[in-house]
Amino acid sequence: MSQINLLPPELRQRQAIRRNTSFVIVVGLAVLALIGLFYFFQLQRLSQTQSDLADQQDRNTNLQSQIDALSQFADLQSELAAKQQLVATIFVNEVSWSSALLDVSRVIPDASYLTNLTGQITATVAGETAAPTGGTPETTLIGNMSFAGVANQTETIATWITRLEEVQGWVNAWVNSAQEDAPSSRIYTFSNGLDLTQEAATARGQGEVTTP
Amino acid sequence: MNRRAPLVAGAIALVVAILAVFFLVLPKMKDVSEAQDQLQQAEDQEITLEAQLNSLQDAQQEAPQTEQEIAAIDAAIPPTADLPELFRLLQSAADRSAVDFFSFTPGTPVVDPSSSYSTIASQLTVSGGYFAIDEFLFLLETLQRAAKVTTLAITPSTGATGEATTTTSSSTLQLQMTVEFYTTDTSAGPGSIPGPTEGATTGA
Repeated sequence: MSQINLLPPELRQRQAIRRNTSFVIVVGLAVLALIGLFYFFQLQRLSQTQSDLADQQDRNTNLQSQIDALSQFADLQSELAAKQQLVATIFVNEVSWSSALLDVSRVIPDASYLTNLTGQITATVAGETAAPTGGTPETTLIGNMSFAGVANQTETIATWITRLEEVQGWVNAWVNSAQEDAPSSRIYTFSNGLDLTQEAATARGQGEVTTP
Repeated sequence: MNRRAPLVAGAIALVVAILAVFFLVLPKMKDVSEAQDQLQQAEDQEITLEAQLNSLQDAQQEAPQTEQEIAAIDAAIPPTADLPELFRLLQSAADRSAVDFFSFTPGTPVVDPSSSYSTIASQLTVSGGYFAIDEFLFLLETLQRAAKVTTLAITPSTGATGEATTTTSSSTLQLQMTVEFYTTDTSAGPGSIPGPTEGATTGA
């Protein structure tokens, strides 16, 4: 027995089109729903972020008000820093002459004495600080000392020069003259000098201490 | 029904979806992104502010010490030349070190080119034994008032008979030196504006 489809082909085709159309519409609506859902999440995120931002700004405002209340202490620190800078400028390359005199008393040989001692530090440039540009503390010259004295035998003068170089920051020890007082007397009148490097400067002269 | 109906429906759905994405979702995502950037900036700012606050709180705790240091520096570099106090300090140092305070010639204050302080280069002469002079120099270096010895010369002191003594430790020596004292008064000395003048550029 054969089956006969009495439904016309146009109707079948129409049903298929309707099914397809419905499917497309459902899929379209689903996509739109997903987009709507995503949009909703974005709204939520935005709302949450703006809320967080408002809280954060409140905290920042609070912090800023605390900072404003303490600003006088920042001014105090700035004032101290400016004054310390002034101290550093003033004392740049300062030499402790009291220490220098003690060093002289330590290194001078027994068979000699001094008749004159002078010292000076180089005038500093305005605004110069202890840290020099170029050169090291061992090689940057900041002043000099000169001596005149009397020594028994030239060996004493040689010893004197050698010992002067042993003092930290004292370099370039040099004898300007050594003259025997009388023939065969072996008593010599001498004059000599040396340079002072930055190592001879005090701690505040080297910028390590910023208080007077 | 038209055969193109599914295509039309699909096209309409696609267009609506694209429009929704472009006109709703993307602007909102941009808003979220901007808000997050702002939040990040605010959080970064909080870190900076907290560091600043901590620093200030430290400064607050150290304030008494800071004020002491400022006072010490103000005493060392006073707002006026204050010669009377300087005389007293030098005489006290001379007395403590047992040297004879022989002469003191304060120079005219010279304003530093930075106009932040004036230098009073003074000539000072004392006489005494070698170690007394050494002690005087030490007291000068540790004086309440900032002092920097720029030149010094030690020679045997000429006695009443005119003869010079020549030994280093037992005889009387004379110390002549140039000492710089300082003041923040940039208009100090004779002919200047009376009182402290900080930061002015007028000469002494």
